[in-house]
Amino acid sequence: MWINLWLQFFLIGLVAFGGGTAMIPVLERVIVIDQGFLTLQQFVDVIGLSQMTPGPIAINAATFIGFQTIALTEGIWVGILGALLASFGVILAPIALMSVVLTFEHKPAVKAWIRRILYGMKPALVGLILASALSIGQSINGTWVHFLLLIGLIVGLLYTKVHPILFIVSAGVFGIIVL
Amino acid sequence: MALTLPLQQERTVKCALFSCYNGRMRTRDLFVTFLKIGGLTIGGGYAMIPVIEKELVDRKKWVEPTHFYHLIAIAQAIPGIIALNSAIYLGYKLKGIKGAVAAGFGVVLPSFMIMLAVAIGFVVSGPFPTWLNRFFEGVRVAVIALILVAAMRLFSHTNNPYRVVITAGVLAIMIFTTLHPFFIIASVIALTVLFTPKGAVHVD
Repeated sequence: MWINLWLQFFLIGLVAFGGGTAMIPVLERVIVIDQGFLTLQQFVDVIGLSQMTPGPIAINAATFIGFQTIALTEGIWVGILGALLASFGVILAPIALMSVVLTFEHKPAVKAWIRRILYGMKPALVGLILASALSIGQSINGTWVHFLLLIGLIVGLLYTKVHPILFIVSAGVFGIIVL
Repeated sequence: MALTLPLQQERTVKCALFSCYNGRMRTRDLFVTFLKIGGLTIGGGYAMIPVIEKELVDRKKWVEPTHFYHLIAIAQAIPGIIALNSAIYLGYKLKGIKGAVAAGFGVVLPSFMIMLAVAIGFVVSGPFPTWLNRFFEGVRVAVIALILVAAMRLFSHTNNPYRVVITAGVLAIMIFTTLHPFFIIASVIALTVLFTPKGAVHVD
């Protein structure tokens, strides 16, 4: 279980193109479907929590899941080791790749390769992200109130300069009052 | 250490490759600065970039603006956690390996500690009370909104003429098949490398 936990997060770190939200499709597939570390609903809650607490989403998710996976069977103190292991796993590949880039970045060919890969990667990532938005949407027993809230949040996020955390917390308060 | 002489304070720090910062900067300062950035920025990597810029370029003047934009291009271009990539890159450029470790560790540590506390709270407290369940029901909708907005922004930042086809294709594959995202990402890399026409990708 320990090795698997580490390995899964290492793999997530390895393909984490785009960072942040762009990692959600891979996180969702590995954590919810392949490994069953969390249910889809728990997973969405962890993403919500990651957006409300400081720091990169990937590290937040790794810490939370690493702790929970181990703590539920082994107890809280051992769970902290699980959190360390998963977080270490997820940062390892980025650190290694960054070291490579730091060594070779002055070569124009390397830059050209990176651009080339991203050129096709970005639209593909959009497709992956949309797919995970859909599957997360299915985890909610949506009514038209949820839908209105969603539209309102999207408009707010796109057209105002208000920090996203305010929208997340407002959506939560809206949930307590209305949903 | 408060009594260091002015002469010593003006000692030039040997900077690797860039940054002409002429002052005293210790590895510890780098660690503390990134600890602050990591602990105070909510919303992940993209939210962190303007904060890093404000702190390191505008306030501390450790890094020049042009070098900073170069970094951003690189940190976003390679897989990984943007905040961590940026911290490692800047730390390395400013203080070598020691700086990279200090900055990287600093930016990750608050996130780890806070999330660990939250996770312990969740496991110890057991099932949610009703009001917290409702709170998260709202938050879930907000998460979907954030994801959709991120997708829209990423889409508008691509100049690939086939972007609609690629996006729709990947979306269809994800909906109608059980192919793994790992596999899709690997295939896209392979196809891009094989078929991107020379000159389609602008290189400075």
